[in-house]
Amino acid sequence: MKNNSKKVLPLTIQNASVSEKVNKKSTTLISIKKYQSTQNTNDIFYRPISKL
Amino acid sequence: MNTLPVLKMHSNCIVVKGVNRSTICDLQRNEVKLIPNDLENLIKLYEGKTIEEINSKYDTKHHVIVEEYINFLIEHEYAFFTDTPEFYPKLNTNWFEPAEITNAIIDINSDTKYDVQKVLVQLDELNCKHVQIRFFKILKLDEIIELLDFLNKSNSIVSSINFVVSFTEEFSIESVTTLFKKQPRICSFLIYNHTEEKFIKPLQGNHIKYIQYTTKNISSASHCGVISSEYFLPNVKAFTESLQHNSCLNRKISVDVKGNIKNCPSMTEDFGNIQETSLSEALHHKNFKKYWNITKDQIETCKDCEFKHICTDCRAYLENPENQYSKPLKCGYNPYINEWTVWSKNPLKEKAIAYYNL
Repeated sequence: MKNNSKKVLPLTIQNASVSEKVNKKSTTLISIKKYQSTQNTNDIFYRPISKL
Repeated sequence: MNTLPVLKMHSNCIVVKGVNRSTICDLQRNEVKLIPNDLENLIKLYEGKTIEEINSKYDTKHHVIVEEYINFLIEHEYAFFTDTPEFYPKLNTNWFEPAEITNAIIDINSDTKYDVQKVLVQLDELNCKHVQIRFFKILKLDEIIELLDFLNKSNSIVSSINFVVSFTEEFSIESVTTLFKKQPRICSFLIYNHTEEKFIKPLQGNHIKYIQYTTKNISSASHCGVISSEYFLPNVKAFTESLQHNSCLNRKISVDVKGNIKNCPSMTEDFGNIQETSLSEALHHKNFKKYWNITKDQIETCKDCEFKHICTDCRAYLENPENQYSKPLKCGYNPYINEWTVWSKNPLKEKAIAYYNL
């Protein structure tokens, strides 16, 4: 008999990535090409001021 | 006393739940990984438990997947096992910034009448360090040099500037690179109306400063507000600011091409003209800060999105212009089906696109 208190895990990590692979626009690992970390400097703003 | 090692997430790796799937945001490595909501659930419920305790919560047939989940967290260094979890507190997610204004946009076109240098002086008084100056006109490189020299002579607090300019031969890679070397305040150049797309890091060893050439014609403020994975920011500052504030408009002030002081040049509401009103006066208008604390958790659709705290926002162009908590119009991501589409081709957005004359 099924124990209802137990968690059910229908998805593997690979399954979660499937829809991403279908769509080229968003990959499982999002690279930050243009706005990389600025934690090593205080002089650069850490997010785009506008989004053109 | 429990002496067996327990599962513990690294404090800089934060899980964000979306409606269909979740993300682990590694705020130190600036990476994002998609995970199933089941793994999010496991972390939420069983972080701090031993592997035996975690397994006991699942049917035996799922133990293989539990193992896969745990291995995934360990292999990617999102989590670890420790018998002293109390030594690893959660990341402090409070966001603090002493400056009244952290970032500003100044728009200029061929009809602009106001004095840009006066605006820069006022930004200095507000302790604003980061400025974007967008030229919707053809300009000479000398005009930019004059502004930078002015900031240098006045010892301005403004320490990073993004320029948006139309391409002419004066804005070649060589001449702009030379300018970067001479003027440390320059953060980036976005040069539009070019013949090709190019992305250049002009300074050796500096991975942050860049020159971007684009074929787009960025002729007005109406080009702003695009939501894209290219603007995703998995870092501590942006993430923690997003938890408490609007990820576009917080601590922002703008002057549009006519000199109107606004939250953002693309918005309709203004708080006076820079020729009669100071930035400080506008800032203290009762309505000026009304968008600053609208977080993604309050915005329709965004609140269900797994990218909500690494994404930027836009309150100028909305799917429903009558609702200030509406999803950004220029976002093509649908978290309910996990697909990106071209926002401008979405038939459901036609009405709003017409409303904004885009």
